[in-house]
Amino acid sequence: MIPTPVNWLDVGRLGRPLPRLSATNRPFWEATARRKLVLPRCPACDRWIYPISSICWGCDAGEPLIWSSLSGKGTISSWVVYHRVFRPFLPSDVPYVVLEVDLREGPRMIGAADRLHPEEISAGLAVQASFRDADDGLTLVVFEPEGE
Amino acid sequence: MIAVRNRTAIAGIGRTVTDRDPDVDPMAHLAQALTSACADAGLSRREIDGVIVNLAPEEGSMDKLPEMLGLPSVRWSFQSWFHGRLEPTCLATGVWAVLAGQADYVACISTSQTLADFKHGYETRGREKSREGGGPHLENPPSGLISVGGGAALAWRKYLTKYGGDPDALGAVAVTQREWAHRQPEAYFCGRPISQADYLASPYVVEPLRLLDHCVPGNAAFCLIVTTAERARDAPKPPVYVSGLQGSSSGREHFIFSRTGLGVGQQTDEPYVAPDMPVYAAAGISRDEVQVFGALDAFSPVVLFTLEEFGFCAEGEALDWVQDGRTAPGGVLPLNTCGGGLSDVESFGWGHTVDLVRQLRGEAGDAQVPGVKVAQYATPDRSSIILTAD
Repeated sequence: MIPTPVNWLDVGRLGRPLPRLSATNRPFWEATARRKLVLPRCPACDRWIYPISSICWGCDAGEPLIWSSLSGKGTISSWVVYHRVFRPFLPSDVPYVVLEVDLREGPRMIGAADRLHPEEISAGLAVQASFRDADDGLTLVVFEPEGE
Repeated sequence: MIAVRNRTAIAGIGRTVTDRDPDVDPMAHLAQALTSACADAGLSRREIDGVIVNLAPEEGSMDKLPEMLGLPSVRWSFQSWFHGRLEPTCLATGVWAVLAGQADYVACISTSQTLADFKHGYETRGREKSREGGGPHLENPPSGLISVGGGAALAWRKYLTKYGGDPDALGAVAVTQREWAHRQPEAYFCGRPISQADYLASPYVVEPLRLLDHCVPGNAAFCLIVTTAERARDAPKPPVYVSGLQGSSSGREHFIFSRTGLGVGQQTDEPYVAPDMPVYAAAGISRDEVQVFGALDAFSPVVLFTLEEFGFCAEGEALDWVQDGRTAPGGVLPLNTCGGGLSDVESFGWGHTVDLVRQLRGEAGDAQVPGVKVAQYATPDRSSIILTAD
């Protein structure tokens, strides 16, 4: 179980910021622990719901959302490189890269980069989701070059 | 729509000198700004019967401030969520209170307060929440997108990718605003001009944003007293009319650190043509009549996004447009003449607006733009206020 944070910047035992958990987003983090990328999807209009929510943002059907699997494949649409340390990250963590990824199925998602040097990154680069255990029970989605 | 044009006015302004002393209580700045504004308006404290607080050390400052100052007549008080995009909305709320007869003189007030709350764009209190599943500026802490500037950096990278352009040219924003700050004694960077070479030597914080692309945390407070135009005409200083107001847009398309249609976060990625912004019709002016412009500038690219959002230049053109001194002293659109968040202090629009009032009164000293009659403040999420003078 992921510890339940009180604040959105609460940090776990191993030093990583924890997601704020609720019944709405817990299935996402339970899935990452199983190395799966899932998001809610509206059965009426087929939209993917991201950021994760309890209601479809695009139609009025009001049907319960269904957690569905994604391929984890996508392309980089933007990225930043952290050079300065903001706690709880450590000096040894920088520079590190955070990506914005257009997933093949549509959602645009933020994720950490793995095995991607800042110099190698460009818009449109194909990446795929991978998973990294970051804290007690917390598994992060990270993106790495596709095909590795 | 109820017309607001020129029915209310700013009768008094006050601000404090920016400091970076962590031992200073922000409430001391607030109290000083309010008393300065009263003096400027020729009012005694007992005539202040409305108070609206935007940023302040804590919730409840709407009670603490009148208590500190012994304001005996407050019959309308309110405190907004602590967010900088709400500066025009706070002033608008003061306007509504006056027009509705709830108060005669509303002190609209805010601190910068960022020294205690932010360090290089990292929000230390974690008080603001809930955009994109994280913070209000696209923060995603588990992934490492953990500073306020992260979302602005993603937006700037997206802009560079989409439209091309030399990232170093962004230095024109930082350097030009320092030029303005150099003319403003209350600005933190007064006396500290920088060159493009200084900009390029500035280290990356969240690449592609450099340290000099970040606003200045510091202590300062700002107050504007809103009253009816009629009462303002009896004040010692010339009235500055509230001519147009526009609220803060919200939803998947709107992000305070990006332009609409740029494709950041959940925005669509599509061609953008600035719509006819209602604020101009409300004020009875066209965009071309704006003589001094204030833009949210928590991070340098946000200035470019604001210029494009409001149509001062077309999609993808703002980076070129701000070159060659267009926004500098003597330029066609003097921009953030107080130095702005980048060079005065991060005031979330409050310092910008106090400065626009000074420009309209002819009180801006070395930064004065000649003959200013129309001035505007705006943010990329479309909140705006237009102020005019007789």
